[in-house]
Amino acid sequence: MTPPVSRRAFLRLTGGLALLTVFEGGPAVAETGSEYFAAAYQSAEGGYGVAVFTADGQLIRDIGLPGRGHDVTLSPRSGHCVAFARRPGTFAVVFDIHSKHPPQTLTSAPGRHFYGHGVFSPDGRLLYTTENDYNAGDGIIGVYDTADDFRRIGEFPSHGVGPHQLALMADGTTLVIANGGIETHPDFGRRKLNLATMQPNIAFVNRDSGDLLDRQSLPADLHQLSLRHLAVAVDQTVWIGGQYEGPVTDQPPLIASLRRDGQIDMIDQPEVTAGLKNYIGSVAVSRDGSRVATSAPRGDRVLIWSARDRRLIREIPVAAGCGAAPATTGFLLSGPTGEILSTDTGAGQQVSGHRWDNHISRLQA
Amino acid sequence: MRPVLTILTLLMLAHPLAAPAQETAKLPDADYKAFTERAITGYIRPAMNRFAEATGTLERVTSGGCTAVAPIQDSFTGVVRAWSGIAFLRFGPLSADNRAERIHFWPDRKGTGLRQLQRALAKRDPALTDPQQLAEQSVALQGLGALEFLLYGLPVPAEEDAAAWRCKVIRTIATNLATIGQALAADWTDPEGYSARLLSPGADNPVYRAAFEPANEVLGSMTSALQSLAQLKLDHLAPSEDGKPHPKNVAFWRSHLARVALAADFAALERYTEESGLTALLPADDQPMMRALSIEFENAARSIDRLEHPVTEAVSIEEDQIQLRYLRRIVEGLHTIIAGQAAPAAGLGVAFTALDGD
Repeated sequence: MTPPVSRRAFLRLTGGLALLTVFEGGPAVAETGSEYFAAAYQSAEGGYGVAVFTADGQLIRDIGLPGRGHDVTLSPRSGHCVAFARRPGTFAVVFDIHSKHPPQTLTSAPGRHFYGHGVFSPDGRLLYTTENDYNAGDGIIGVYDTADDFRRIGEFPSHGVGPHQLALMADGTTLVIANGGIETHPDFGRRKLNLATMQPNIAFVNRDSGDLLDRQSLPADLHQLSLRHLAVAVDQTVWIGGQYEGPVTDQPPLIASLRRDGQIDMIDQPEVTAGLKNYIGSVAVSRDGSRVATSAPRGDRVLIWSARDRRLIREIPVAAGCGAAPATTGFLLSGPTGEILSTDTGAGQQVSGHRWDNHISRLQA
Repeated sequence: MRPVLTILTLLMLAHPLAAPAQETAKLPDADYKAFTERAITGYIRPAMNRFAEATGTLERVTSGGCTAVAPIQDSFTGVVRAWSGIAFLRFGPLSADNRAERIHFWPDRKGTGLRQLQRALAKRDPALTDPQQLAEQSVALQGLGALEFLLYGLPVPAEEDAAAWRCKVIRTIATNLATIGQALAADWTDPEGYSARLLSPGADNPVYRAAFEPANEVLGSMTSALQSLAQLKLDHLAPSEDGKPHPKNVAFWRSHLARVALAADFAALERYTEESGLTALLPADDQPMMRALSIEFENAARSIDRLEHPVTEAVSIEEDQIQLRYLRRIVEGLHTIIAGQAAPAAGLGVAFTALDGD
């Protein structure tokens, strides 16, 4: 186990920028059980894996992946975790936090690949994943039955192109899906095939029927803002982070919120988003819903917002830092040289040999 | 002779196009600036000017009518070559206003451009003969894909009126391309334009903050050129393992200019690496390895010379397949040298995590 790093070492890790000494508070949320986090990583040797760890960076489980992973999702009931391949990957690995059962590898259906994110139904029975029907160029939600060895039992449209992250609303039946709008086809690698005409949207879809309930898109001048990542607050506000595909010299808003019955409400504060290179990598909402974290790895910082008045509260420097997850209090952040940072305590750890990939997920088990 | 280097590097790399993982030490700021400046003045500006000239020639030739086919096809070939010289410079001016897609919407996986063009031709859409209107149409109607189909895919109509209208469409597309070409050249020439951002990284520069970032943009465009060569061309001509070739996924197959474009792609990258002084950027100890670069480029040029058939036929002729597979390995070898060796030696490269986008 890697010992916690000294403050000096931590400052070096975060690019030498001074950390603010006032750390994020917020009321603690009562917990049952322990809190774990999971993230995909690249090892020092260049291999790939997924690790489960505690907020102070202690590794609980470490599993190899057949290729580069992206996000990890947890079944609230069964304790199953699923790590997804980074797009356009075709594997997903199911594992258990504690048991030493060998992980199970799922393969996407013919003509489909994973986009890297998924979510379980509240009862833990079904798994929903964002997928690409790449010959048609249509976004798909794949449905897998955990009780039947994760057999793929169906699919329905994501109601957009390039679905990326999705989440479940509190009613337990409505999926909210970030359709990034970018068409890709594995024959052409990660090449973006429709930048001139892309139309991202946020779709609310009934997970039982596949019916589209609501769909919100952006005004024409923002059609190249790929809406890729989202998180749902306890009050059911959807927080959204975008990645702008237009000229780098443009300064579009990148962060938005959305109520189910409303329009996408952009946070238009160019003075805040100016240095972010038009790229938000992860979105997380604090457990109590009062704070939103948006990571900006190309701007080497994570922004913490007040959810209530949409005001920037803090900027935390993390070199190329992208992972952000709610923790018992505050957020846990991660970066590509192995650092894990708690916004609550200010403690920084470095987990050696683990270059954390884009996301951290909070697993409560 | 195939250099041993390529074989060795292939053996070392499971994923030849994957980003390197190592941390790298930075060079002095002035070195990055010198590299960026040479890339702009030595390669990017001249290449943009060549594209502007080539599209200007096409416009001039087509304005004289369409009965003389050879001069039009020659100037189209010139534009294809010049486009190979800049297609990978997708930062700044070429990424503004959908210019890259308007010049050449490719890959057009679903044949959208062709379908739209046929529909517009069938109803003689007046937008196709007005440069201002054309610039607002679907990107697939505006550039080289549509022009290639008109010049090489459709018979010239027998009736004078229809032939004249076709010619007007050809001229309008040529004008559109020339307008974009002039804008690109002007934007890159403007000392206050995008070059200024590349040459003055800093806290108040919204695009490039640290001194190494512009150099990383330049080097990144070299590796993305190689990625395009692999993913948009050679993977479809010489697929690995049991894959089937799909030569019609490769740009300019219809005009039989895919080979010309391939040669121009390699030539452009060779010139870009030379003119930008990629070797000079590296610490002295790392410079000798860069000799492999010119060897690989020579091999590529020779191999393309030996291709005897247009790509649509070459994929099923064994002698040509040998050359295409070899070219694929050369691209992997070049990628290893530039992204795997030169980039870390220069403190550059695509870092792991979100920097490459997801």
